[in-house]
Amino acid sequence: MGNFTLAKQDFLLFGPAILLLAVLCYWPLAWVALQALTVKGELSFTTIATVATGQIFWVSTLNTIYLTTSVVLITALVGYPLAYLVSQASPLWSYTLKFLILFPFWTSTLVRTYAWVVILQRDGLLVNAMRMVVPDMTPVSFLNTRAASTIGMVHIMLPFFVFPLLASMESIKRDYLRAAESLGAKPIIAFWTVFFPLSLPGLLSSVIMVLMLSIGFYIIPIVLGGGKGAVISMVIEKSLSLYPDWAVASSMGLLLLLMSAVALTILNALANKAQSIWR
Amino acid sequence: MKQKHDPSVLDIDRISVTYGSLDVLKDVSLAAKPGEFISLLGPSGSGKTTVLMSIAGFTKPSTGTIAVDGVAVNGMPPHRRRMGMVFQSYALFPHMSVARNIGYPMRIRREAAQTIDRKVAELLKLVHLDKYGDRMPAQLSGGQQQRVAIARALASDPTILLMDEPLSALDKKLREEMLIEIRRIHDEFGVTTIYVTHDQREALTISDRVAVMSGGRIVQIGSPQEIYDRPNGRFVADFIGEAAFLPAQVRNSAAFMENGTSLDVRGGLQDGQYLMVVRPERLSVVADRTDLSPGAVLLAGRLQRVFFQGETVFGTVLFEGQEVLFRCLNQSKVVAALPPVDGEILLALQAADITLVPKG
Amino acid sequence: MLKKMMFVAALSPLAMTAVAHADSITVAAWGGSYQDALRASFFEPTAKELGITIAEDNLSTGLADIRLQVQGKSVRWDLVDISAEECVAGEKEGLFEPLDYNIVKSDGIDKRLVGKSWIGFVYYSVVLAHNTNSKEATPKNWKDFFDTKGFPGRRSLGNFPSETLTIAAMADGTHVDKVYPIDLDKAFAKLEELKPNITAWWSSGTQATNLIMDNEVDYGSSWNGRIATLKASGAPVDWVVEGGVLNADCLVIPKGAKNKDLAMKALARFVSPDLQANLPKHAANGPVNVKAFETGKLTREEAAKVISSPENLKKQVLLDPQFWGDNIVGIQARWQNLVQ
Repeated sequence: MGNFTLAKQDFLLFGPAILLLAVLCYWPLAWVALQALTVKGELSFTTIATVATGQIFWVSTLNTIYLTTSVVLITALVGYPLAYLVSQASPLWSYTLKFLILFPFWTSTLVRTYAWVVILQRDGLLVNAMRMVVPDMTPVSFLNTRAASTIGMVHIMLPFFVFPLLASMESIKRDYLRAAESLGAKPIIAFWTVFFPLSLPGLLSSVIMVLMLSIGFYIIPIVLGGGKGAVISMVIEKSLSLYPDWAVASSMGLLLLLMSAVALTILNALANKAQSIWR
Repeated sequence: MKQKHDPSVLDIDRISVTYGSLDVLKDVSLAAKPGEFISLLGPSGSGKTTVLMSIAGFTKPSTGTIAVDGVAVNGMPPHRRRMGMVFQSYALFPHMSVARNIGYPMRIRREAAQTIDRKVAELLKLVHLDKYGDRMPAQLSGGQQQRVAIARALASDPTILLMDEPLSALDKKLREEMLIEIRRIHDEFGVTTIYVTHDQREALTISDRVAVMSGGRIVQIGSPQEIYDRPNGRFVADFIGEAAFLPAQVRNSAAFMENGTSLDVRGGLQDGQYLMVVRPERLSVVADRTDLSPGAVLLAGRLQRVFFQGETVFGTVLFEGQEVLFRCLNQSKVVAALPPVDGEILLALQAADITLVPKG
Repeated sequence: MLKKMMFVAALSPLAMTAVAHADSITVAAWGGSYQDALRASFFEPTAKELGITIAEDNLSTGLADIRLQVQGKSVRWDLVDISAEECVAGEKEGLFEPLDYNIVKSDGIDKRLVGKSWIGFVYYSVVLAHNTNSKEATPKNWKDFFDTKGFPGRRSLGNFPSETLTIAAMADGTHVDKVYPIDLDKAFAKLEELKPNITAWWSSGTQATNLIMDNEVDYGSSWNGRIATLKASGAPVDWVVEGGVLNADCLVIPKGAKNKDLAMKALARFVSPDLQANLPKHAANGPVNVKAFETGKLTREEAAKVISSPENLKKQVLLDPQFWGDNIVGIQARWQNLVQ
């Protein structure tokens, strides 16, 4: 890796992209910060302090953390083996599996969420399927629970988890595993000592992707969760119409951003720590 | 099962590998004595890597047996076969330091930490990388990585060391150095080695024996000299070294060239059509037809072109409608004796150098 | 009409561009079939009558949209349909132009829905609905609904404090005239008591009706329009008008609207009895102007079915926008804790 220096003319090339990023991303963010941290044009931490000490914020934040964590964990438990399977499959199988994973992705989130309503509700497809085994089962609903929200979100998140991970798994040479086995490692040991550590960067980006997307989820907890356990996005949205200015919603947004940054830092540190074990 | 007195470390008995309708290996047999260095040489697609993968256990032969130290290993998974394998891509674990890479097989076997440290240090010394233990593989040059890969394979205390085109990713100069290095390490360690290459020079230089492969079969196996001097067919003669092939035949156990020249060939050859293998360096330029030793064959042709190659001179000659190549040392006396281009040139092939291979 | 926003949010990027001619105004409403009904009942007749063009746009979140335009000093809309609660809140913030009641005639409109800078527009109602296939006994009113011993079935209520707390205020059978001012502590206590029997707190009209139609719950609150449509199409649902919580949408002219004079004239037509009488033909929403029922445009049978007919008005309670404008911010935290 050589040193990377920018010449003047490089800015002509990057300029438009940087400008676009500034306008589309950082300007609104600065505006949000301004709304949260000023009262009548003066710097003030009153709003953000009030929000940060308020019950609504913490209850919904805990709900969000709970939901997001379970979504990330379950997505990882399902997605990692799936990505591994695809990465080790023959080209034809790999292509077919990728298509099958991506296929639901082309349908709207709302439609897929309502599909889960049909499956999970009382007398829904799930209960009817269970009746084939237990004919006299009393009708039971899986809808309007946190579990339903989690299932719906895992479904939506799976492709977002599998594909970044898969990209990194596919770059792991098959020779690494063969080398490990020829050196006396059982396949399972070869996997844990060689494949898994090498897939960690991909796993990290997948986890971050799902985490970031899940934090902002809104429709699914409403439709599948039955409105119980309000998540932070719902509260932010309510605050927008409730309060005469943007300060409260902006403060919540800013706090959310802060917490995401903390989560990212912790994840990154964990991943680095994990990788150094094998070094 | 082989009898007890059989000293083979590796005994491959008529294995075949098929992928669908494609025969990748057909009835391949090969035996290796302890400490022997055998090369599998052949063009790409000849099946040499498949033989290696079968020994390592990554490919399952459909028929035949592979025995190591007299025990059949057909059903044994790769990790129990004790084959140290060196890959073309090196396959060093990128997340582990050089020392960790080399120590890997010993850690897998749960050897004591001190033992591992000591052995790793020894192996690093063996491959001349004493100070590189803490480096990551990406910080090493190609040749250094290759040496780490060899050290790592040796660290697994292998029954057989398997090397799959280990030098093909290196540049030419480094390749020559590494070739000598590999042989040195082999001799120091004394481990039986199967070495896959498509480079005949590599194979001839490094091996005790060379198995030439083509189309999923071993065509000929023998010492480098045997393979070169006494090829058993046109393929081997052509694949290894340079050669012109002149038609010949055997009638009533007597051999003749097409122009009727009698050939002094020992050993009973069956009647039939043959090709005489004429290697460039075996031809010598002679001044006149009388200047021949007994049994030598004279080829009178027309000199076409001469190339000066530094220490040697290389020429093409048209002999009875066929191109024949000769090479001689760049000595003033020899060069001065060369006729002008298009002039007649007389080439002599000594009786001992006459080799006939079956035609077709 | 907060609940519509999740649907509108999906459509809003396609919002039509407003045209700003001198003889044109831009009206923003909630899109979908609701806006189709408004167009047929009000926009088209008014445009024709005044010889102007009425361009349309969609809201995405409600009052916040207007706030953004007014504070950003780029007001694109001349006339906007938002909920009455938001009208009260917006007036306090000074987001609207005052209405000229020389032009706008408010006779026939409930005084509680006439503000300095806003006026009621259309009614809808949150009613008690149930699944007719349910094996549970059917509650006849909100008192029954809150009686978990007599009616042990599964329930749903809206995740909207103003409507749902108004319902809770009727838990003891309080007469519709005596509901306001609501004893909030008592209403919260009632809901807390009922909470274990609540399967879902719905957030949209579709969700409210689906819960009942799919027998996910035995009974629950629902918007009158959607449940009536479902019943008419043969779904196993029914509802009662008694105890319905009437809620109004209102009209406002955002502060700094470019065509406010023309908007004022259009607004006057929108709330006039003759155009208000058009609405029941196109939607389940009801006219806010009771004089609409005196225009002769609606037959007696037709009028009886309208949610805001004089007969039906007596059976329901009007959600008091002033009360909620004063109280909503304070109870938000309590509400959030309730629906946990």
